[in-house]
Amino acid sequence: MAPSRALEKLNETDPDAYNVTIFNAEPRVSYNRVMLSPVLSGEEEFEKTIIHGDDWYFKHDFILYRGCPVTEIDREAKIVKAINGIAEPYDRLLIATGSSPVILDVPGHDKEGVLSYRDLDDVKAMLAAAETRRQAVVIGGGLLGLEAAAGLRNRGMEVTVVHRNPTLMDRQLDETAGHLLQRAIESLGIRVLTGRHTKAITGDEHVKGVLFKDGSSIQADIVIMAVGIRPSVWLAENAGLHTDRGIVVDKHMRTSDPDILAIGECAEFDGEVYGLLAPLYEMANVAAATLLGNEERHFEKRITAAQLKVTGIDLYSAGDFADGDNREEIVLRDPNQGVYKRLVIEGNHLVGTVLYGDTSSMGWYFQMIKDRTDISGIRDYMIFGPGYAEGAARDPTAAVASLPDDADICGCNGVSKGLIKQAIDEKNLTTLEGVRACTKASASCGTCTGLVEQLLLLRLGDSYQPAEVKPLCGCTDLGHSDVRRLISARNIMTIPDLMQKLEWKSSGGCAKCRPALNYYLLASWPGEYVDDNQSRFINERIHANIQKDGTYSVVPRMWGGVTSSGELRAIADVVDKFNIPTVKVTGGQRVDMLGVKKEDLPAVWADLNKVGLVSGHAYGKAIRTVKTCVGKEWCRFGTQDSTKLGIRLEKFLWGSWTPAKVKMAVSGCPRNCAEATCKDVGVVCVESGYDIHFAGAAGMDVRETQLLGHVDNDDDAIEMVAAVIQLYREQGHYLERIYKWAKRIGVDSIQDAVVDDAANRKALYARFAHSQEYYQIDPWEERVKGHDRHEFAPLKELETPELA
Amino acid sequence: MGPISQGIVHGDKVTCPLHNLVINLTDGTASDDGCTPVCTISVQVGEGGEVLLNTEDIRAMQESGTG
Repeated sequence: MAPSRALEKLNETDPDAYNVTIFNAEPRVSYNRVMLSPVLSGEEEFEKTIIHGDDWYFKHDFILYRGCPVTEIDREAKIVKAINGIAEPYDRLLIATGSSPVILDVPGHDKEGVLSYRDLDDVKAMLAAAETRRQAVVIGGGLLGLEAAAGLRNRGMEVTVVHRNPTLMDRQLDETAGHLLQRAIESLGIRVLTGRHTKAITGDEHVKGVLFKDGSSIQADIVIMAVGIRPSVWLAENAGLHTDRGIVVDKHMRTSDPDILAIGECAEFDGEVYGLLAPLYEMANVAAATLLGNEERHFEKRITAAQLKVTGIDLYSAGDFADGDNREEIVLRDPNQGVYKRLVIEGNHLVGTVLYGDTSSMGWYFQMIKDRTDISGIRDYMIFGPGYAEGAARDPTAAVASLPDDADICGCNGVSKGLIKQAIDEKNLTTLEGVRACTKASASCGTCTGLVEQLLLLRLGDSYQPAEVKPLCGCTDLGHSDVRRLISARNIMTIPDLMQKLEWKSSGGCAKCRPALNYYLLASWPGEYVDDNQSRFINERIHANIQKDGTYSVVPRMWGGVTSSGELRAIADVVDKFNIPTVKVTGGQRVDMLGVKKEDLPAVWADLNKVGLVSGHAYGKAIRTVKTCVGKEWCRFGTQDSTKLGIRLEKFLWGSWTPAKVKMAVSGCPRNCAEATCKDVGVVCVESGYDIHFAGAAGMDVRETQLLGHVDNDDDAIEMVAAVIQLYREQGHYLERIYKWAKRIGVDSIQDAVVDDAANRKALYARFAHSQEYYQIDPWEERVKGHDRHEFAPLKELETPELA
Repeated sequence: MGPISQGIVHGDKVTCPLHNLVINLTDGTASDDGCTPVCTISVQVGEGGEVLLNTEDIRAMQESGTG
């Protein structure tokens, strides 16, 4: 395509300057490669993609050798040699050998049915396969791979796209847009597998499947390799021209031999190789000028832009959209329209953009990036596009406005958005108190207050002044409670989905919101939500506590603080075997081994697991410890068996994730040796049964617990404790300890929900028990068995001598 | 100094697990004013997905004792 353009230019300017001979390795005339995808999908016919037919070559007296690859350039004699003994002399030579697809060097890559996607022959082979075969696997989730997948799907094949990295098109898109793209691709009926590294192509003569490094595999009748392209430089290289990634050219498209020029995908200018049409055509224009002795025309480094040609999917990216210290981003999300727009700004200039769902302004943004336009005057509203004259502020009520009328706003009292709207309109309510009185919405725990206020704002307009909500973090205007309610009201199941639907202002969140969102999602959808390790703090990712020197501490669980000779012996052996420098007894009646190397953790856990010691979760926002005194079995003052209750409690509660850490204790009598009355939840045994306390603290704040209620027996104690912890799990803000939650919600309201309302208590208990079915697992044992192995081994040990 | 390799990655940034300092992954600069940037090693990703480190950078880092 690039050489055709150069010839056109040459002809326009001075048709008699050169006699032209063309060698084409493909057995055909010049055609528009960009249109191969529509040909594959059946939306375009090949004939329509032809740029120049035979008559064009004939008319201009160009000699065209079709299907005639050049084999050698003899620079001394200035002769080009091709197959079948054909040779032609030259004064000037233009190389446009393009690029060739990269074929993964895995076993089986040469089997029948393994295709690449580069030229018309590839398309023909794919079309033939689509007639008789059923399953296609496309390796590579980049531009070409996705276009090939969509085309084959359109032809009726079952298609799976396999991508090495976690998000599709990661070279052209950010994570958010990649996630939206994946959903759109999946909605075309294409299966997407990310994070899969291909190990081998299986089968006999013909391909039968693809095997991955993680041991999994899929069936395939054909495999398309679309993992990338490589400039074809061997001809130039053999001729002794300077090559790097491509054939190195100057700004006039001249190679290291001034009589030889190179353009197109094989040419490398200023360290860059280009694959998109606009810069390639510009190269052609420059080469034509150079051939005609015009030195003024020259090539300049280009901003690259990418666009996917799949019907129904609009996406575009241009420029440099990496985050940077001196960079700011403007993000606009419209979840109803499936739109995500991101502008990256450096100083007063737009330097990059990613657009998904609405690419109508792409030309405008591209021009501003290219021209380095001063955007200070339009910065506030440029995200809305060129047609937007006035700046409009982000609408804070958008999230609530988009909820359907039957969505529950108030979970406690089951009040829908429609009911609240109706009450506001029919009863002329103008205050939060009015809504509470009429509908009960936000009248119990109050976590939906922010949403009710936004509804008031939506109905009454600016005349309503809502109380200020403290945003969860800088990435959103929504508060913790708003986010939690919206997760269930809108059935949000993943972090990227949440960021899109709730219009997050940053592209990937921050270290503050990601762990919070991860907790909210796993608490909302036990068993369904897939935990996002990358959104967890290192301690919870590695299941040990990071210390200031980068080593870790290991604290095994000792149920109720009770241990045995077998456990202590195993601990002693581990300490010796792994040279653990410090062993300490903690305030929660546990043994802490400090200074363990990260790579030793799985082996340490394996030894501890052997005697039944499991993770103590001393590293997590989770159920930590249940401390006990010896109780009436040994103590002459003891009123109940506090040790036994402590052990039962811990065995039921452990493994649960909570908004912040939960420390507990059971004291056998009001002398309170286990210090139960300064714990998050504490039980004090009395003659008549058990007093359940909660909301104590003994950290920066020191607080005595409040009495929640009284129960007569062990079973009831466990039910009430689990119920109050579940209520906290459902209402607490991330990192908010129980005493702060109780202060925010009100102890009375919590007592209503957990003590007075027996049915509600049983329901809370049942939800906690359900959640435990999924979360009560020993994370250490999983990792001993190899889960998350990559977390514990360095990627590669570098040997210092190699460097010297 | 903290082990930033253990931090939470968000977008092109990573947050240090010990001090919550936000470091830019593309150039090693810190988001808080007055904090020294971390050492960077230039890398290239090969066609097979292998990561190539620039040994010059590693040597420079070792010599300056900041590694």
